[in-house]
Amino acid sequence: MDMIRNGLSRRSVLKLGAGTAAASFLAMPAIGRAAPTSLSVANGGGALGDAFKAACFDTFEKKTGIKIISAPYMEGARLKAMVEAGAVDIDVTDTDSSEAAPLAVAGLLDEIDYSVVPKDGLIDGAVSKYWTSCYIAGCVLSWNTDSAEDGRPKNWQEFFDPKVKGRRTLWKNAAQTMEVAALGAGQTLDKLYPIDIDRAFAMLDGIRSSITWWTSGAQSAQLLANGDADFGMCWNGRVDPVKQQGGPIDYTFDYSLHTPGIWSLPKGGRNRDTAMKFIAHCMDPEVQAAFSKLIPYGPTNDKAFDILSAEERARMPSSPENRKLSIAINGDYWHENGTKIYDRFNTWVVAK
Amino acid sequence: MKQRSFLLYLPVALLLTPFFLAPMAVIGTESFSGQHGIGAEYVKVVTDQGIRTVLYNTFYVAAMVTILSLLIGYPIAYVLARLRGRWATIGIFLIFLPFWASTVIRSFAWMILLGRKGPVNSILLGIGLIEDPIRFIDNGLGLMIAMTYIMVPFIVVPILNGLRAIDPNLPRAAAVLGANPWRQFLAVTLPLSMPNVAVGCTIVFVTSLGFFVTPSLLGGDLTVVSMLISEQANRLLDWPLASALAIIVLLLTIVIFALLRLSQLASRRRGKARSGVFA
Repeated sequence: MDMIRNGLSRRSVLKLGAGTAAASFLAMPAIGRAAPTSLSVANGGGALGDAFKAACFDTFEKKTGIKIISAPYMEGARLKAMVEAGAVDIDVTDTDSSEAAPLAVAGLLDEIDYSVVPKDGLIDGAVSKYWTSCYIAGCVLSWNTDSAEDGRPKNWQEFFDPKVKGRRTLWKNAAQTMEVAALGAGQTLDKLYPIDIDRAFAMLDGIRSSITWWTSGAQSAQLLANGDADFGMCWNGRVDPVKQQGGPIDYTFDYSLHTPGIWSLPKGGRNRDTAMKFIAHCMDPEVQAAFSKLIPYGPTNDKAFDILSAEERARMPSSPENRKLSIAINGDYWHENGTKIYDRFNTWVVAK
Repeated sequence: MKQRSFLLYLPVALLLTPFFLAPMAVIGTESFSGQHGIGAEYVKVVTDQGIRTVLYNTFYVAAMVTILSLLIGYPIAYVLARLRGRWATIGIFLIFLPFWASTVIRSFAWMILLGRKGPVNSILLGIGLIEDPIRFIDNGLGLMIAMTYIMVPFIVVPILNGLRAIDPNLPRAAAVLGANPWRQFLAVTLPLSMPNVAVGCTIVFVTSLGFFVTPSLLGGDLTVVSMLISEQANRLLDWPLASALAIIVLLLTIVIFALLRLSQLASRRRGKARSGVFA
């Protein structure tokens, strides 16, 4: 009861900067349906988190006075547990479209309200019922420039050609790895789904003894830079910084897979309206251009490219030039077929 | 007496019931809640060739790491037990020094050290021991090296405690009776330290079963069960299967330790019958 009477003063205290997630939660009943003083946004942290903070969070706070509290990344299991327990203290989460697909089907996400979030200018594949993509990461063919500059594979067919000598590093994960293997088998970008799984595995069979697996993005760049692998599939956000710092790494956006980085809303969040406004804010061309200047993930709003320089656009997977030879990962395909393919992939990896 | 020893278990029970037994019950229930019929997840775990290989890998790596940690840790504990005063403190400090860095960083460091062009392969190639680089990071060898490096302190400490608790008069008595140092060790010190060796091995084995970060970075084609559970729980959202995997690992671990305990009891009974001294 005290809380209700003291609501206003409590709110002004919060404005003075003591706004933690817990405190704003306590203040919530007092201010009823009024705008919250803060929003909890889970994200991957690291370089990505820094870019979010500077380009999206701080600008949103400046515009609305609502503070964004950055929260640790929500794995699928944590989000499911949080929603099912009815204890949703995260308003918005950053994840990728293939991780969001099973969450959406399981009914763990709220729908995006496109009367608030503008679709205007967004590229194909950025808009979905349960999420909106705010940046595009690319899975790109990369190589070590010391060991593989001459005779490096130009496309996935050459990459998976056993006659091309060299160690390959691949993600120890069915999604994305099956896609590049299928491209290696000669499936075309426009007809990649459904993936011809048998032919993709035949490609993996052919190069089995030359595979070094990676399980995290940082590891893939390290393996290439160290010369543990001569070429590999890597995420552009991991290899580009190493290249910029002068590491012996290069990559191409030809035949790249696009992974939409997305905002979604865990079902039952208390601040849905504000969360929607935050997502709308992140679709702004200025915001997206500022974000992409800080980390080489491409905008989803085409107008943002007008703000970026030619050099900056060259580093973006989704720029009009770079996206010509690319395809977006189909999260729904993976949700429908994932279990079977993952089982087969995991068995293939450990088979002797 | 009986009554009082029961009460001594109470704090443990109060701790384990909410923080271990209750969560295990939840996981157990979850494992039977799949959509493919009751027990379908267990049938899959037992019959799927890939999952069986992953389970085998997990226990194989844990067993190898336990053996390697024991072989390296016992001599270290033996030397530390003979150090006195400041040197003993420094020795223990050095054993725990690696804990100042996180497992992620130490695993990454091993990835670099053991890489195709890393220092270890460079040295081995340089002195002509090998002709092609050893693929440490692809075949599980590097994983076992890194995990052993992480686990050695966990076996040194219990063995060190055991060795320090041995009455120094006992090896002396053996010497008086004509036993050379090697014989003193084998007949007196080693058997007396065996209970602590068992404790250390248990800690290392059980902890090794649950490693996640190190196998992710250094496992190569050797997938372990924690990675599979994480994939099922996070990426595929198949909690029943993830739970069934966890329960199977728990059951297999219990079976292994029950068998060990039985063989221990059996050998103790034999030992009693033989000597009747160190029972």
